[in-house]
Amino acid sequence: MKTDVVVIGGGVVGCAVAYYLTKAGARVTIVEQSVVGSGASSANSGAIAMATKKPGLSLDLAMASQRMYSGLGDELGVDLEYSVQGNLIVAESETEAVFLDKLALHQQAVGVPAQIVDSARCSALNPLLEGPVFSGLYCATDAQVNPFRVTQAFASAAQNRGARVLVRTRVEGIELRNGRVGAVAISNGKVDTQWVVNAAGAHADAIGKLVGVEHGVKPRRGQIAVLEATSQMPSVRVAVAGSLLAKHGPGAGGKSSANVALSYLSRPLSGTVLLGSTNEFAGFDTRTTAQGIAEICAGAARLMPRLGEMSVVRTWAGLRPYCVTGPVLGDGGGPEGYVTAIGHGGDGVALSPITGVYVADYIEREANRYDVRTFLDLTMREAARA
Amino acid sequence: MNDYSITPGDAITLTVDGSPVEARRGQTIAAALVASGRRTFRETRMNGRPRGLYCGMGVCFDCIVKVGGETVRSCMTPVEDGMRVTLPVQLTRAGAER
Amino acid sequence: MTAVRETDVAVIGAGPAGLSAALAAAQAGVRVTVVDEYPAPGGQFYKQLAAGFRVGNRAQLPYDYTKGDALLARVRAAPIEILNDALVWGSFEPGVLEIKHRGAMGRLRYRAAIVATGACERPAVFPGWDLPGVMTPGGAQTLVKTQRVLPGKRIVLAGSGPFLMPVANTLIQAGAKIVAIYEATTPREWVRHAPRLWGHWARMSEALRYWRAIRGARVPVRFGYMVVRAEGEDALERVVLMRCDRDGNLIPGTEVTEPADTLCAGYGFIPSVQLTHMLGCEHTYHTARGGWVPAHDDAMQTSVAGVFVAGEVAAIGGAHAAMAEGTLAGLHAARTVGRPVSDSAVSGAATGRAQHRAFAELVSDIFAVKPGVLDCITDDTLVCRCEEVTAREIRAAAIAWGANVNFVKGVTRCGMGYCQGRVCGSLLEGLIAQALAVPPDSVDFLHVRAPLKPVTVRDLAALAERD
Repeated sequence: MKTDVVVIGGGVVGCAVAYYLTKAGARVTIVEQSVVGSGASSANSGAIAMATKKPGLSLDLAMASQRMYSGLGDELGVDLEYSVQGNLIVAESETEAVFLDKLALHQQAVGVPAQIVDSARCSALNPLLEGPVFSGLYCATDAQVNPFRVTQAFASAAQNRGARVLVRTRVEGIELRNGRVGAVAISNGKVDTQWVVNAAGAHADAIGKLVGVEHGVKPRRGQIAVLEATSQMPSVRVAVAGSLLAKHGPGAGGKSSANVALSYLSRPLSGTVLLGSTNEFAGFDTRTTAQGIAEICAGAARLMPRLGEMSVVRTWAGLRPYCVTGPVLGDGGGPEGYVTAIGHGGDGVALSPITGVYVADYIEREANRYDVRTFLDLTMREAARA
Repeated sequence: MNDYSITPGDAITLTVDGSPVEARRGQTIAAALVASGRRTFRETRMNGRPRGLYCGMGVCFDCIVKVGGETVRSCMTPVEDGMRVTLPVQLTRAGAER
Repeated sequence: MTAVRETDVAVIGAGPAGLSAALAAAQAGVRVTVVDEYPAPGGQFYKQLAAGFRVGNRAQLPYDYTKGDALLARVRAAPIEILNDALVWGSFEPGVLEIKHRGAMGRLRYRAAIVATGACERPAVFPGWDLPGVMTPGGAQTLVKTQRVLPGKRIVLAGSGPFLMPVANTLIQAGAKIVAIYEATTPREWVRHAPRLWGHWARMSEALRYWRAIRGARVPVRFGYMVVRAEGEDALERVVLMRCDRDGNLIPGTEVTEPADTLCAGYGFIPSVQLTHMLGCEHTYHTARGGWVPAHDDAMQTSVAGVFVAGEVAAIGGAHAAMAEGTLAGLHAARTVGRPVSDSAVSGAATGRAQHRAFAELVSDIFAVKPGVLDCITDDTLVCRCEEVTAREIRAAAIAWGANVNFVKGVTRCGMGYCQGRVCGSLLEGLIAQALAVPPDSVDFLHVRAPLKPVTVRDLAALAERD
């Protein structure tokens, strides 16, 4: 078997990369150890959120990616259920309110329409908010999308342009020829190729090992409780500042009990309500725990007491491919021909379009490759001109 | 029906969507609804289609109604005197009741 | 604050299998706790009148009500703790069950567990199966038997399987009007199995008793028909059936229309294996046993040490097989927790089980679900009742995406609703297998997650206060 690019991983990021590569005329083979989208791609809330991000490369990537989302459904020919629902982060204490004030300023400076709103406005935005709320950070432009459809749409579109998808196929090794990627050994043979993209999500490190690189991607579990559909919950997503503080605030990264707690409530177009999400290191265990879902529900019931009588229909958990430095795109170390699209944390769905175009561009260029920052600046300039 | 010396429980009353419905102590809400002549218990949330009793054993959740604000399987929930039952209706895409 | 109970052997399910298991274990001196979702023991086979009814003279009750009396009396007399109105909604560590008992969240710690969660009905699916008035045979039987309410005025029974007979019997005794019974198989198709009937006289005389009741009530019975459509504006008004051949292929020009307000249709049973999945047991696929069943050894122990199974959850087979298996599992569970149990007791139970299993497999073969039932599922037919997903969407997703129920679920929402795939799971499996011409056991099994049945946000929040 011969191909131009082997994409390892058939999740939303791998499928997006495959799509944009086929758009650039490459012959692509996706190698997926289970089935398409079976990892974090099918275990997330579909958030496309700027309000929860600290300014920096992550936020810039997210903004560029969101811009791509508005036309993506048409381009792929699938209704992605992309919907701009807004995002409200609520502060439950003075400390959290101060944190949100600072965050809003930083976000406004880079063009995110984040507003600080008072407690009354929070209740107006989401009448279920009856717990003590000091203030909120509201971003009307944050959105959500159906992650199954995005993965399916990218994979379909790639296949329609000739990409091959090998499911239930493991990558056993990456062969080098003259110091460059030469082939990928798979469970039932070998694929000759000069390019390999590691889009293996939570399993990125296992692939990196095959070429002697330690990427430092660790699975970070997020548990979610799914509530029955209701007419009571407005569509604006509600996030809890406490969990952001734990992620971004001073002293972040240390051990925090807030890593098993409610961090958001969202309402997909199906009408159900998602309560999420923990942030725990539990290896590759995708089971939910009594403590995890209890904390999530306790947090939700505290913020929105009327949710108390609603039925939890299901719980599940996804493994975010967490990398302390954020996404590692393009050059992640390793031999010539080895390209990374890894470390997206909980933002894989949101960042899949920008990741796809960047990695496709990276591979297309023989020389003068752009780093991510330069690529983003150029993209923004082009968008401004258009 | 041959009564086989079986007598039903005491008569009680529930309200269903505001209207009184006669029932017997010990009956399930579903049985009380069917006995009162009502076989459509709710509308489905997406398409507004009528649904009633299907499996009768608590597996299918087609017979769900709301007691207070809580969703319960009417085939598994015994009636209580004065119980207030509301029947689920179709929801719009935005989540409002139609 | 949530209560924690401890027991030696936890039995989940108070039907004939669970009760027999509890009795056997209790008699061996084991501390037993039975947990059951329903308000009173008996399960499906031995359902009782709802609380609230008064019986003047139990001797006047039909056999339908009293057939479980002997077992229930022995259970009452034994030192067995039974928690009714108790839902096992999860298990997050070995040896612990999460329970919601009469509104309160609690835990049950066990040294061995016997899962006797029974089965649910395999739905008959055709356009209009979601109309009010269409239900499963068991749904009608439960309504009539436990609640003394008739499901409707003109009832058609259809589908396939021996269960149609006791349901008809219950309805007839309650004075219901059964317009006709339509069975998909024919006596001619049964003939080749006849030699295997030898020896099963008790079961056959039971069948004969039901048959006589049906004929005595002058209910027409027609063989070789399948329901192709249920029609009506907002509730059932007509049932349309067609003749079918040995494989269930519909024979053109044989449409029959029955005006009816009630249709009770089903194709046998599907083992309720959600808890065994949650407990981490391995499962195997056996069509004759009902599909996916927990793998187990001769001691009824699953791949998880200390977890046993008995009854319909292990293999569809009727009350008598269930009781024999329950006894066997109870004896072995007692041994597992260190109580002495005689080899003769074990071999007696094993022999009983073998005999009843042989009859059960015969019945399964006679009434095997015909492949043609899938053809009654037109593209517009709903498959997932909870999320209102049609067969068209499922077939298209299978063809586009391949043979995996979890992926098809992800892109169509089939199986994401309240019932968590209990009604549509086997349909998803069958439709995908048919669309891609692959065996039904090769398409994966819908992932099982807590809660096994819904509990409220408040219920789960209460758990945060413990530990």
